[in-house]
Amino acid sequence: MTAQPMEEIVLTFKGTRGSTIPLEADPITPDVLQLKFRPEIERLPLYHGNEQVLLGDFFTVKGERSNQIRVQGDLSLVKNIGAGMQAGRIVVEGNIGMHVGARMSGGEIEIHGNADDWAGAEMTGGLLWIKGNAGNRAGSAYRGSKYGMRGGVILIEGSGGHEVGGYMRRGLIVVRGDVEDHTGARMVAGSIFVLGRLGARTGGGMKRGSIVCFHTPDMLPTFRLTSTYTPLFIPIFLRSLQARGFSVSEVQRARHFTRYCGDMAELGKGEILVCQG
Amino acid sequence: MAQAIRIKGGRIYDPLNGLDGVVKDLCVEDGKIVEECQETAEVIDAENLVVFPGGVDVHTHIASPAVNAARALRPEDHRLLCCPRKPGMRSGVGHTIPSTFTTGYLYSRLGYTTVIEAATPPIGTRHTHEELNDVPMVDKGCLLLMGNNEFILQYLKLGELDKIKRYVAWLLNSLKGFGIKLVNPGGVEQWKYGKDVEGLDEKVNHFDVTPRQILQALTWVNEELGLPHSIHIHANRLGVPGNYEVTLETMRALEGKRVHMAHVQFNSYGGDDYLNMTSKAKEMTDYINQHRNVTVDVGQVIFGDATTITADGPWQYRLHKLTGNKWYNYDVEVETGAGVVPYTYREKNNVNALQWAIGLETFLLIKDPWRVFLSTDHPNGGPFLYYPWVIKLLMDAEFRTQMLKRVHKHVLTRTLLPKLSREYSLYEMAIITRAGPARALGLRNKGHLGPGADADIAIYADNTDKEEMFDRAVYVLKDGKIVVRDGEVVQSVPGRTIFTDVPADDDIMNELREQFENYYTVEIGNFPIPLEELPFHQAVPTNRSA
Repeated sequence: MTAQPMEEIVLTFKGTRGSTIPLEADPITPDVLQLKFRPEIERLPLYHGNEQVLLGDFFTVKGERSNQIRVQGDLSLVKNIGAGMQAGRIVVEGNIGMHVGARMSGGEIEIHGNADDWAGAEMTGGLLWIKGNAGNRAGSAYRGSKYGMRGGVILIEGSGGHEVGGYMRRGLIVVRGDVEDHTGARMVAGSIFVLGRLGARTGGGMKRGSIVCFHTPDMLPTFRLTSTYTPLFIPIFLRSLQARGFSVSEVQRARHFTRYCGDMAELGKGEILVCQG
Repeated sequence: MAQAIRIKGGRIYDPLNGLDGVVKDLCVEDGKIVEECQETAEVIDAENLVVFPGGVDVHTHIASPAVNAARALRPEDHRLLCCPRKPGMRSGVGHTIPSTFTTGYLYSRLGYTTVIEAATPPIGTRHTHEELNDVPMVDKGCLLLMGNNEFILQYLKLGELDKIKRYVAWLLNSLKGFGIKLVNPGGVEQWKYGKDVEGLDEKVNHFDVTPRQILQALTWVNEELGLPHSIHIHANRLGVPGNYEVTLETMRALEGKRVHMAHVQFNSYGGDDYLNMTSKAKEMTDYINQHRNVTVDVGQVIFGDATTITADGPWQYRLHKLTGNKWYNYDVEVETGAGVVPYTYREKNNVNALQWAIGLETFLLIKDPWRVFLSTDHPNGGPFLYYPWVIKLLMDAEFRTQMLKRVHKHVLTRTLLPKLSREYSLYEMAIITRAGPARALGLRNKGHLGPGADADIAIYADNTDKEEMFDRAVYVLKDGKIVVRDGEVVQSVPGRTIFTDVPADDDIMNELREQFENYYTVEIGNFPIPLEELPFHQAVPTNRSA
């Protein structure tokens, strides 16, 4: 067998036939699909509520044996796509449901639409690029876990929800729009950039790590003002984002930042940088 | 009515009857092992297979208020292992602390048929029994926590040993307990005032008694009542470097008496802090080798996730402070305490690697396999699912050598493990996982395959990789019924709750009535657990009545 140039697999969602019960689509990852021929892909088991169904019942499948996957349709009720993926690429054309890219350790997911809650939760590597808005707890920890995101990159072009990067351990999150409360709550390390406005209690309980804000957030009283300075890495970093196609035009001239360290109620080695122009 | 079964041509390892790999047929009828097989018996072809008695776990934590608190504290643990519902079987979740039904299925797949829940506070024992009722596939019993019971401490202060004896008998009788457990005797009572005990002769707050007195009194009671199992001790200062001295002192204090030292690995540390911690397994095992009254289970550490659950409240606080992990503290009225802290053991961590090595040293340095038992102190050292991995470490010196290259280098200089080349045989493995624990527990119908024994049998496919061999049993018989086939549970059976049949007098109950009203949240009349609450049970006679 000669090596063929890999064509992508196109999965077109047929809808949930009026049901509001979400569809759990764990097997839709490049790691699983790249080993399968089309009929095998159509027979992959998914769960619709407590009922086992076949992938072919809900998706039309084109292509086979590829680690490039394109998913089309309004997938707001489809959960777990790309969860745990290790390599390859998924492009989602439309909105997508919860847990997209959760626990992923490599590869890329690109979403041309909005993502629901838990996008990239506890991910350890790879790139999750959300062109629309993200739901709550993007890149954060699942309930009870000690750490959230442990590596990789989440880029959100729209807004983020509550607890973006909660319990974060390593990695990078950039949100172009606004975020809600508790951004970086209890984070242990890693970096979060928010270009828009922030909700309450940013960085509450953080031990280490950096949160970079371009609008002044409501600072908790347990953060201590240390200095205003001109960190060199931020313009360089913003230029690299711009070069990769993630627009940061409204803040690209930002130079001066005020540094707060905290949370003093915890270890106090974290920092919140607030742009002063 | 269970059918008759002939297990044909298997290699039988039955240490209590001296069978070391003897090929012969085994006959089962009405849930018991019998001499002669019926003509009509169903035949299990065990040719080329290895036949063991069903596994006996002498020390595990699978049901109690504290275990349930751990389940509530750790939602993240539930995601790691999910068992869907199957016909006749319940669904369940949990990796280090599986839910009740799943616990039974997972134990059964490993070939275990009897397990002992090693710590339940008296007032929580109704809960424990309700959970045990829901653990299928295995026979189970529970040990009652008594080392910090304020009634016992009060009687001890007044020197009324006989009343302690009557009170303990009443507790075991009314709560359907199997034996006596001491956890950090005296120390948990001190913990109620934010302190701990440092040694055996330190006075316990208010009661003016010492851990030594508590140990000796309850050992005396244990022998006076003739309980089938010896006293079961979690010694003081668990987990703290330098604690081997107090552990040795505990054993010396009870010299000549039957005593079971639980998860002794956690009590064999030298040094004065975690940086210069060393192994004292040599000193410990030297003592154990010379004193035939001592049995131990190891509490082997497994690398990976664990949940520490113990009545040792002060230690759990220390562990919470060491790790920064979430902590659950539980003050059980006048009886004891408890704590839960999640923990992860890592190969490259100095302390964890030493703990791992000390456990293995203990296994390998104790010469008499009848007195050392396999346990991980589930889920404190790691989940019981990893028993096959421990078995491989014990049976395969080459595998140990490979592991030594991966763990923290302090193991090479601070333990004897690199010098130990001993490998356990299948016969010895049958002792430390079956015959030995059954004998130490005083369960005459368990842990062997002689006529009259319960037909609890585990059949494995021999394999040079012992981890694969013991990971899933080919067949498991529980009371003569085939419950596991090719590593999958095929039939759910309830299993019995085992308790010791201790006669108790009602006078002590009348004496306790007023104190109960003063100090307990329950009426004394609601405290005892009637037999009807244990739908499947079996009373074990004391050595006095037998």
